[in-house]
Amino acid sequence: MSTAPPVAAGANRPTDTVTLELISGALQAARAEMEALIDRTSMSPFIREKKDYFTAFLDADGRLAVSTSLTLAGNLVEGILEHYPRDTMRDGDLYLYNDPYASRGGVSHLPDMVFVAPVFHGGEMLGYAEAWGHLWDVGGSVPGSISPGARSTFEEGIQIPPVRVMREGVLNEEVWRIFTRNSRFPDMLSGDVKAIMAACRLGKRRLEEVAARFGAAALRDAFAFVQARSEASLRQALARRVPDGSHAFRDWIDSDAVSDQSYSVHVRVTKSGDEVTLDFGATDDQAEGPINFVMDQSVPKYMLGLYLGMDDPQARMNAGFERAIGAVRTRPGSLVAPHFPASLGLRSHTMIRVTGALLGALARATGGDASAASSVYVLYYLRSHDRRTGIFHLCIEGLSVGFGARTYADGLDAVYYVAQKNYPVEFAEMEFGVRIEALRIHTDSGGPGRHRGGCGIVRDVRVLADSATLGLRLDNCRHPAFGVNGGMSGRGGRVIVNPDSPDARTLPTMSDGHALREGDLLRIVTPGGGGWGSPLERPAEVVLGDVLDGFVSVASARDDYGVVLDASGTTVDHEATSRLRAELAKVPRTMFHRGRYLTDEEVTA
Amino acid sequence: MSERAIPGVRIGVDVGGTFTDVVCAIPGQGHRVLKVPSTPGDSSRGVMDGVAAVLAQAEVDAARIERFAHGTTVATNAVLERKGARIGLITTEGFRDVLEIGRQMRSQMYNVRLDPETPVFLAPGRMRRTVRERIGSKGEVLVPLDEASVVEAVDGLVADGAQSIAVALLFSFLDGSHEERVRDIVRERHPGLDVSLSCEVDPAFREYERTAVTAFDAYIKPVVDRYLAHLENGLSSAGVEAPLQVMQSRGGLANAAVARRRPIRLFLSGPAAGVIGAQAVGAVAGVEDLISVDIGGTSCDIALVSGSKPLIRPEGTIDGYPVRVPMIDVNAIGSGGGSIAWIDGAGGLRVGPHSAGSDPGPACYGRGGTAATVTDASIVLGYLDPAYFAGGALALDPELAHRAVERTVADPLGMSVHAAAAGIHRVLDAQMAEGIRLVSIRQGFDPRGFALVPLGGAGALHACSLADELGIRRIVVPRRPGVLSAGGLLAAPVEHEMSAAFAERLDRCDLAAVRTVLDGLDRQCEALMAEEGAMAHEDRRVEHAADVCYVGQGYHLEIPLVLDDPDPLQRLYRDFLAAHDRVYGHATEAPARFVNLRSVHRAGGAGEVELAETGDSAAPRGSRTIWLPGREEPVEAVVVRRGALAAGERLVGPAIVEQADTTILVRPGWVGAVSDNALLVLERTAEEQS
Repeated sequence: MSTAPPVAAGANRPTDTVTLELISGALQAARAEMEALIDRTSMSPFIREKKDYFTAFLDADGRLAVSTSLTLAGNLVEGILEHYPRDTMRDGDLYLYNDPYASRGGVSHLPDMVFVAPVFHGGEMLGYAEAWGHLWDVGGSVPGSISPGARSTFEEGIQIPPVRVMREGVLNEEVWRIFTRNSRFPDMLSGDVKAIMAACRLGKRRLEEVAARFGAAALRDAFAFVQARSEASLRQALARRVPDGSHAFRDWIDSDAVSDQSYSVHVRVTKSGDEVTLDFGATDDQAEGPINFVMDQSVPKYMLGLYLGMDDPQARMNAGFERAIGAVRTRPGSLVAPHFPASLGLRSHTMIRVTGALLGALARATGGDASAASSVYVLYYLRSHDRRTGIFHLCIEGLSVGFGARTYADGLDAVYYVAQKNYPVEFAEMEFGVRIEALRIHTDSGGPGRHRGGCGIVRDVRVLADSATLGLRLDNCRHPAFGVNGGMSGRGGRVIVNPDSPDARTLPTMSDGHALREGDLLRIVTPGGGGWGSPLERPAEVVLGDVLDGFVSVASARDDYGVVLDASGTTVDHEATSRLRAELAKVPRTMFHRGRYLTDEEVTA
Repeated sequence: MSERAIPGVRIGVDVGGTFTDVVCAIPGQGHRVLKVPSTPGDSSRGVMDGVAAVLAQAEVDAARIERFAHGTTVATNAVLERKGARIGLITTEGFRDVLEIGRQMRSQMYNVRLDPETPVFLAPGRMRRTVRERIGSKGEVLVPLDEASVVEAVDGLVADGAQSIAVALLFSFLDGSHEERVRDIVRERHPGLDVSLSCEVDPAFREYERTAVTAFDAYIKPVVDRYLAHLENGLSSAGVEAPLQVMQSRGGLANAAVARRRPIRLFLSGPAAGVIGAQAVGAVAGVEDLISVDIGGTSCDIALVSGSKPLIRPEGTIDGYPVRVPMIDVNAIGSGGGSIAWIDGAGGLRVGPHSAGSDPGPACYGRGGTAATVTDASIVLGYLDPAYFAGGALALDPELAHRAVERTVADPLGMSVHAAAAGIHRVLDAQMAEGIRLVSIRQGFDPRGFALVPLGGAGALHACSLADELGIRRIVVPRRPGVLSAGGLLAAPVEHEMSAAFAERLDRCDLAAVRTVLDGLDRQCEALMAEEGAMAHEDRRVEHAADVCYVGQGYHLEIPLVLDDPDPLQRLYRDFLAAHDRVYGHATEAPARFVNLRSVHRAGGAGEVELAETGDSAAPRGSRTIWLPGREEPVEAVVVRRGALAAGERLVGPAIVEQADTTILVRPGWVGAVSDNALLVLERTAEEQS
């Protein structure tokens, strides 16, 4: 790891390297403490179980230095500075917002509530401590605030532009009262917000302690040091892995949940020597439904930095990544730069397709040296009411999907995108008035490949209340997660009411407002990730293992992998396999597969 | 033991990765301590070697041993090395993949290099079968057990090579009859096959966690069973009549026969003994709140003792996988004496997580290691005497240490060798201190209110510096920090614990129902105690506890349940609110409910550790030049052997205390006092910022 340090060590730096390392370690640890505090003191299952929160330190210029590796937003301070210039900020101030438009991408949907504390030492500004968390309910048209049916962000909850919620340690009670009045669950909201504010104060105190111990100048140097370190890491990775040239890719979202129309994210990655630019100009127009994503320019840079820096402990997500990559162009009025007041609640469908498009462009640039695409996590919202008991249940459950195969390994089976846990069957049955009748791997959903895509799952939910309304967000059915380098795409999911019965009906998978009755069985089948490399190169014994373990059917082993099993389905017929694989090898395979192998024109069309 | 003319000998044996430590308490002769090399593959050989050696040395007959307590890594290693049994897992129809899917969780967000976080290796899909049956959420039978489907599943798994069967059916914690019937069928058709039932291993809700822990139980049971049987035979052949007792993860001992039936409780057998040792040392020193820090070659184990009780967590982990059995909350971080210092691509000094281990070990071992480790830095700084490392058992080469630090750290960074070595220490100490702070804050404690108890070979060398970083003002150094785990085995009580799911609301619950369940658990604990022989009668204590949560909450806290209180349920609720406030930072008077009831029976365990001075020859005081971080110039430090310290003596830092199993660095600003029972208590006297 000691080859050619790109950042001059020791000599030109006012603060010695050991001190810089101590401060950098202290900042990392302080950030982890902030998260531990949120984890420990928050109230809602969203934060506690889902871990849907973010903490960071920024330098005095508002540039990200140390943070959670979460690529949902950037540009955390700029929106605040517009209303509250830096020289008006004082020790003990706390700023608050959740408005993606007013913060210009500092946050990307309304349930995420951002708190920022400026930190001072001896009258000098040191930087900022920041924390946000996803709140359980911030108002809007449905409980939980996020609705697949929302057509404007006014339906998604209260919008708070950057405001000062504390002045020199004194809480602005008026703001607080307005804010809590707008939630259906004010106690839970207060509990969560107190936890996030406490984490912000903890971060502020830690930053002050670092400055007291090492000096403000050393802290400044350490901020610059960790940013330079990330910048160097990403520049090196780009130089090593990505040849000069210009490559585009288009990736698809099934629908915007209020219409049947699919939407796409298009990116062109251009590299010329040290200069890398990203152009999203050919992305589709903004949607009527809530898949719009107010994307700060930093977001795709963070994505590339984290992906290319995954092996490098010095590649931490911060402003260094932003400096390593040049201009990011977006087109106003497009899916990734929507006009106010487009709805935003389901923006992660677009966010994950931004990652997909970047991976696709990388694969084109590098001859396949990039992961296959992952499916977007699944949520269903079952709002039931039992008139006999008068009990109202809100079951918001996140379900796992299959992840894209990696260039060196299979994709992960059955994982959520953020670290959200599913509800145990035994918990769901005791709390939500449902009965879960199956939970299993969705066989054949992982994209066939030398490295197989991860598989999704099947969950059968029986409605026990006498009526319920269902909202769904299940993507990657019409446009499954693509395969790379000869690997095939994952298989899509579906939602069926009363499967295997005469009145079976299939529901649109991005939609809301479906009425269900007592006794209905809801089968939710989630999609898999794309495969990587030709499935004919997957060792036959490994394919047999997949069959025995329930990931691949005997038919898919034969048709996709060219592996023939004997009648018992427990041993490989090697002779027949060789013959079949020789036959299948004649089928031309291209770099990308989404439902079928795509031509170069098709991947950008 | 009153019937015995001669009081008995007590032996504690702790098996570590490199050494097997034996502590032998002989009435009238104090403690004898011995280290013998561990014997990977069959660690019982090392145990037998150590016992034979210590008995020979003490000229004691094996028949005089009245107590034999053992800390073992055999359960842990079976998992880490994937050497458990081939198991078959039986689940409810429709739920074959619960073990595979788990909680769909990734503990690290967005790391692209991720591996599955569920222990699928225990039973991949081909070794999982389902049976037709279903119990509902109120314990009602929705689908009766279809025995034909059981026969088919069991025979199929056995045909596929299952050596052990795990059964985890939905809601079996409310009604275990289906699982029990599956076991009967297995026994009828395949006598001798081990069966683990989830309603016995972990009768609590959340099917994935219950399934995983039951599968782990089935996976390690044959291995643990074989090992303990083997060791019992060996001890018996050697003339040891005392029953073999094994340390469990909660910090209490169990008879080997019981331990073999409940192997899942042995994952923290070794580390738990160290924490019990630290707790016992604290008790002697009058310290109720302490943090034990066990620093070895590759890792650092951190645990909190609050109010003289080790913190227990309801769910532990093994190799990153969840194991839902209560265990002492020991947190390992990858920093130790063997941690390697390196320069990253941007010119930053890093220490660990890679370790030189024991082979090749630090550069100064002279076994071909060239990387600079923390131990090499300690040599360069003058903290360790190269000629008296491990009591002189291993001669270190200071020149190699010097060269390694110079070549890999000092030269690339353009600093002096001493500054580089001091930098290595500062980075490592900061990392460990952050680890300790994080462990404390997650439990809702401020470390400044705690004393530090260093253990392991390297704990005492870093203790002052860690305390300085954390604002801790008192350090209690045990007489033999390097073998405190073995000592802890002698201090531990026998303990048996049983729990049962109990899904009632506190405010709607009849106390009689609680008593009925607890009576049942008490009877089960008593039956286990009956197998413990004489020790079961010493100072018997019974504690009850309840796992409690708010209605609708998904996580719970263990709260003591005091049945002879005037209003036990009201007190339980109040204590729950207080605990919730401490751990989670808030509490509201919302309705709460039981999750589990628990009974814990303990006996014996005087809390005795080695106190008196033994053996070490008195040596003259010397002095040595040492370099301290943050100071340009070296200082002279007093150097003294631990055995030469007299009771009541004060030792002002900078000073170094040497003993065979560790070296203690007393930094400036700290003063040591030697207690009557040979503990060294260091107190912070001045504000000295390193």
